[in-house]
Amino acid sequence: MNWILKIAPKWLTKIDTFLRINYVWIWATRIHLMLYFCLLLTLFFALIFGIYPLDIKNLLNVRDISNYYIPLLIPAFLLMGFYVFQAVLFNPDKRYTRGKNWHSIVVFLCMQLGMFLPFLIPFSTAVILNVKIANIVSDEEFIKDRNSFLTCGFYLHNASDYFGYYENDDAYLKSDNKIYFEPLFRRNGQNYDDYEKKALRDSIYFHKGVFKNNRPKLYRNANVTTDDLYLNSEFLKNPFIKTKLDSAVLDFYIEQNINFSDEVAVNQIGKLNYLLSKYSYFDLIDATKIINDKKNNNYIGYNFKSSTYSYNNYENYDYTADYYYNSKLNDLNSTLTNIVVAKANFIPRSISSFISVMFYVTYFLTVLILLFKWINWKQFLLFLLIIGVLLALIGVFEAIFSFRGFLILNIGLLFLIVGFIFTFKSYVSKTFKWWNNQWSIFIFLFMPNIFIFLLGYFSVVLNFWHWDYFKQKYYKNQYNGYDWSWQYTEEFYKLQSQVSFYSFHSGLLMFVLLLPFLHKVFMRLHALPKRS
Amino acid sequence: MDDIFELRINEIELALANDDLNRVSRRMMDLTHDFDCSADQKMESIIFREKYNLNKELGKSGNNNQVLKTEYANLLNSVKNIHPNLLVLNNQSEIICNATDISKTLGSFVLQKISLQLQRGKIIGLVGENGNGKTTLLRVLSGEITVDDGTVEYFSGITKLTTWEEIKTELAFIPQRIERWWGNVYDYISYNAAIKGISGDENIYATNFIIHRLGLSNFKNHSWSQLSSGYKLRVEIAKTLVWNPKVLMLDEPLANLDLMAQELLLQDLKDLTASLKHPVTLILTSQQLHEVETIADTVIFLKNGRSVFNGNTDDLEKLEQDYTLELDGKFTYHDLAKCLSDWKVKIEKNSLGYTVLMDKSHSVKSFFEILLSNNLELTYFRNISNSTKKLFNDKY
Repeated sequence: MNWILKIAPKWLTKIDTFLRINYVWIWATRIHLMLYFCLLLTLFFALIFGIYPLDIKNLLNVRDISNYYIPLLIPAFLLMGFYVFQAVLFNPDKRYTRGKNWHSIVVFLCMQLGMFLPFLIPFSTAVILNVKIANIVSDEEFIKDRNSFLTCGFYLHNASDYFGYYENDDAYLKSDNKIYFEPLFRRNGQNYDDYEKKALRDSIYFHKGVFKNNRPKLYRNANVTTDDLYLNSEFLKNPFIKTKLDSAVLDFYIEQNINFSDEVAVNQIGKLNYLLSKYSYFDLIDATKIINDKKNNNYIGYNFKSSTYSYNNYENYDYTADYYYNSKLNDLNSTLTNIVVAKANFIPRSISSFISVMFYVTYFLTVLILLFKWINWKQFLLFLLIIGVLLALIGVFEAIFSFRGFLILNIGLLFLIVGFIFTFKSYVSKTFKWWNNQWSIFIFLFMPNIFIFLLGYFSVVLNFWHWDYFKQKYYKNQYNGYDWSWQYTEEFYKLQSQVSFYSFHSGLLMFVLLLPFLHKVFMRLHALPKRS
Repeated sequence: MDDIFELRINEIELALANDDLNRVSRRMMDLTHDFDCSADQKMESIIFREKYNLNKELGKSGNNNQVLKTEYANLLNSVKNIHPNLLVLNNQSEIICNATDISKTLGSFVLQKISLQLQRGKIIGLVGENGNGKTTLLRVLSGEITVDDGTVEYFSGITKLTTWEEIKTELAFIPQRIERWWGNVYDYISYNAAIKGISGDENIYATNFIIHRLGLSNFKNHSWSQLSSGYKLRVEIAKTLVWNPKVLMLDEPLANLDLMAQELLLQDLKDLTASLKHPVTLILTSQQLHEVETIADTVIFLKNGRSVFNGNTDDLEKLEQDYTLELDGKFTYHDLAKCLSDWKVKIEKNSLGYTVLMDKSHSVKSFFEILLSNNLELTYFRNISNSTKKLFNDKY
């Protein structure tokens, strides 16, 4: 990496010299150069995408951001490979240094950071684009526009999926509502009849002919919650919209009894036209033409074709929606969704997931590289060969005799115990023995996964996750009555996932804390005289 | 201690009088390094050495060297005036390593019952033909391979270093094939000092000292690929000596060097291992017998895995009552045999010329006389009676 120093500013050269003569174990990781190089590239790309012009009428979405992010991953991976090469060039550990064993912890962290840093380049690009999208309109302005859109969308019959057709009260109550709600009520010890009364009061169904030649009132289906009305699953999880959505819009959905006068409809469609001119390149909607068309025809939504209710009228399907405005509204909805997603998430969710995956990938790569630095590469290859053959054999036996994980877990536990014994022997041994070394390698690689392995052993072999305390009766609605079974509560599954999470991560942490000991073991093994 | 100081001063004054600035610059550095001289004096000695190397590189002698000579005289006077103390007076007779009856079998080769002692600041030359166990012995002593029999004991009673991991922090082994390194010479040497715990200003001083001391001033910014094999070896020695190892093992260091480079390297090794501040025990293997003998305190001659000689070269004469002479000249084997026909001698023809073995009933002087009287003109002559070279002879 000396070429970096040639083009580096003086302060970096000074840092390089300072680290080399004072903290050589950090210097050897080349983290300072990587930090400088990656930050420089990150800033460069951030600047490029910072000045990249965004068009509000043709806005990038998360997938579009990925189109920039993914190509930048290629140089990021190459840079990571280059860093690995650099990090193994200088290997003070094999030179019988007079350093401290705890240095290995810092070295590990530096190396992981060094491998992780290249991913800042595409990451910053995504963040910059996302921030730019989020700030393309101010929060206040956007909330206003979004509220307009959510409200006036109803005037164009756009949300018919959330309303059902029922011939009478009984049909409505015995529909999905009952099947869905009754077991829940029973489970919670509540009275379903009370609910039915409330549902009848709050939910009005649409019946053919009632609103003939008038624009129908649309009422909420009882099993559609307020949250569902956010139209898009992204919105359900979206903290931005949940906290900032104007209460008037919520009231609108809850009350639902809207006066659909022509005047109000024209006004609302006018708002839509404003949004269309602001957020898209589409032509504006002709309000008068649509209202006249709706008045002269009794249209129903796509949902009404459902064969369950034996009402199937393809002729009356609202083709006008497709003709006049569906694509426009979808596009508008998509643009507004992109903005709200960007406002709600500083980092696009798919990218933040990738980054967290890379954290674990770089962790385990660092484990391997550190091992590679501490041992002879031939011993490393021998270990891969042995473990490969062993795993293949265990896999074959597992498959043939259907051990369902019992064999591999029991062998794993046995190896763990034997491995610890031999690793301790390595620590006190006076001559080098290849099998001591192999067992130490096994323990080294096993250590980050030790707790999750033990949890797996407890779960599969000892049936650890069998706690009656967390069981509850689960009612299921059958046509001939109700049935129930014992099932675990939600808390149980939460507990299970938390225990797994902490087992896994405490293993990762413990490995790092045990590095000084493992370092000592391998340095002792490295120093021992060999037979030839 | 005063004697040592005076000896050093005299040595430098003599070299200065003879205009041997190369020697002056090197020994001046050694003097300021070993004795409690001021930081300025130490730095001056390094700068002057750098100047000398630069002048040499640029071919600027004459006036430039005259100026340098004056500067050296001034520096020497300032050192003489303050009469500094010796920084550390190490026990030169300390036994660093005791190897007893070590045996090792590697395939069909057997190293048999070798015993030796490594004394602080002393030089041991391991000589012998190819495949006779020199490198194997070095590998055993460096803890690279185990012994089948016998013991190798380091620092017994001197330090608390007991495990190989600890012992190896004080040993340095430079193999014949030098590993590639990265960066430039300065950074590489500084890095090696740092990993051995020499940090801060001490690191800067130690790096500069060894670079200029070993004549690498003009190469400090060179990379591996820009150096010749001779300078690669120098860099390797520099990166080792910079952290003051207690034992330095060199496997065939002279193999790729020209005669001048060999002489210079051996002189530097002799000076640096005899450092008063950080004496180094040096073991080197070589086939350049004469050169090794000139600097080694002890020579071990290995033949077929056995030690056929282990001691001072002066002891060799006691082995035999014969003279072994090497010679060549403008004459034939027949001329030489005819000339020595009355003497009890054995004459062998070899690539260098002739090897003559004669008993001590005649002196070397009479040998010359008889050649002269027969008009045999010599072009090369060497008395190897007290050289291990004669051990190559089959009778050993």
